[in-house]
Amino acid sequence: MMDVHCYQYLIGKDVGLEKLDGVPGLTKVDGAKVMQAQFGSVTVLVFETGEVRAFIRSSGIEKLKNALPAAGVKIMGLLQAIKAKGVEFDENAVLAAGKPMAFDYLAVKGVRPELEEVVNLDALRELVYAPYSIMPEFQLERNAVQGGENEGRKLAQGKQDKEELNSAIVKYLRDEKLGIGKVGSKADESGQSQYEIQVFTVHESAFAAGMPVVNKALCNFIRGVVRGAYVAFMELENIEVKESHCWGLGDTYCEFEMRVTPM
Amino acid sequence: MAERVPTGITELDNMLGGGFLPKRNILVTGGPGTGKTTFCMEFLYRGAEQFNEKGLFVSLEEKQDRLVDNLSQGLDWDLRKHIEGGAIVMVTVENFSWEHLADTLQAYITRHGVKRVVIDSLTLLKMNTKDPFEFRRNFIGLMGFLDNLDCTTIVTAESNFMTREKASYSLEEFIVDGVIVLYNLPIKNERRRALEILKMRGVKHSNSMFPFKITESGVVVYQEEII
Ligand SMILES: Nc1ncnc2c1ncn2[C@@H]1O[C@H](COP(=O)(O)OP(=O)(O)O)[C@@H](O)[C@H]1O
Ligand SMILES: [Mg+2]
Repeated sequence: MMDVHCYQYLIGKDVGLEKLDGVPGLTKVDGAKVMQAQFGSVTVLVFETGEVRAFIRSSGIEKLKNALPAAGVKIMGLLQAIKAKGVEFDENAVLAAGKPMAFDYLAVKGVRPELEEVVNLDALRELVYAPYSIMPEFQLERNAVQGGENEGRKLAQGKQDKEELNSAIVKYLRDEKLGIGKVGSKADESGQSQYEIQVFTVHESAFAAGMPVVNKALCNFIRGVVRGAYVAFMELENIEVKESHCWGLGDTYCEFEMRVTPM
Repeated sequence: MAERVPTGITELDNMLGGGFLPKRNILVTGGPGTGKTTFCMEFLYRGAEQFNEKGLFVSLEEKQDRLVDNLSQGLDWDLRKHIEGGAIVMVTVENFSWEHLADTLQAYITRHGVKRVVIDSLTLLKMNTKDPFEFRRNFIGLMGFLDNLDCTTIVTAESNFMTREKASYSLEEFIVDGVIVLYNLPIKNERRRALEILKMRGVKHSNSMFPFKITESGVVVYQEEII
């Protein structure tokens, strides 16, 4: 899927993330027990459990072959820097034992501190991402949006005002363990609409938390929930929901902007 | 005979054995002013007026009012009646995004019973998608997605060739089920409009170019005089 290849390296022991402060390139991911580094087309996640995942983006197998040695050098450098922070392990052995991970099976430890205990993320991700190897990406995304819209439309039933609707959306995401939502608003600066833009910030998205940067927003289902809810509530189709922030875009949370577009 | 979706342009329907095949994606291409927008709107207008089929016009070029004003200039169709009655839905996609376009199409086709779709124009979609690979992936994806839905779609594309000889073929023409090329050819001291069915999967068709006129009642194709 999306030409992203994932490699897993196991340090074999917990690494205190606070210890890793100051490792070049490694930054703390807000609200998650994971640190992230970006080296060109390689994204590396370091989990508190000592698991290191490298996501390598490439277009085609030939380019991947070229990218791998360079990625190896970066990962080696990172392992050495972690070791220099006082974590005892054999970096050569860890690097050599690195193995490719199926992208559709991503155990995500620590990236969802609040929600991870209560939903089987492995199963969900497998369900969402495994079909990418056999079905067209575009169609899968449409299915996800449609599924979300159907749920969203139900949420609009009997809602009196926008606040009530927004609360229902946040509650739904929470109840289904899909993410922790917060709603805000901002003026539509394009000046094309009299309505404000509704901003849904979602932490711990079940579809995206811990996922690599793939230059693509991943939470189509949640986007659909928001759109479906507003389409049904306002009885308008010209509702645009854009996922402006996502792990897949290099962020550590997800954000959706809902605006009424001119006809 | 297979079920057909008549364009409502009589001679063209005759040439196509009754019309387009249902659920197909057709590309209408030609230079500026060759009549692409008019042709597509006629497909929707006839659908609403004669065949009781709902249409969706997604415009990336012009705002709804301007578009309808322009079309109403030389044509005696009552477009506004169908727009107000909901038989023709006009959508302007500004701040273009593929997701929003797909959301819009999906909503109208699956929930509002739209059977005829026009996307005018692909050239704008292309200009709004920086990465050519991204365009390709989304365009192929969108066409595949529409294949599975119960609607017949026309997309337009601006081409800069004026004469048949200079025609160059692009990815879009390979992906779609049919290609109709509109020309506005310089002949002696004037321009003459012509139409060509370049490709129509599953349909036997002529390889000739046929003259057409844009009249008050819409596009009229002349089957007998071959250019
Ligand atoms: N009833 C009519 N009689 C003659 N010419 C017309 C009539 N209606 C439109 N036209 C002309 O036909 C051309 C078609 O324009 P349009 O459909 O917008 O082409 P395109 O979308 O290919 O740029 C315009 O130049 C317009 O002035
Ligand atoms: Mg036009």
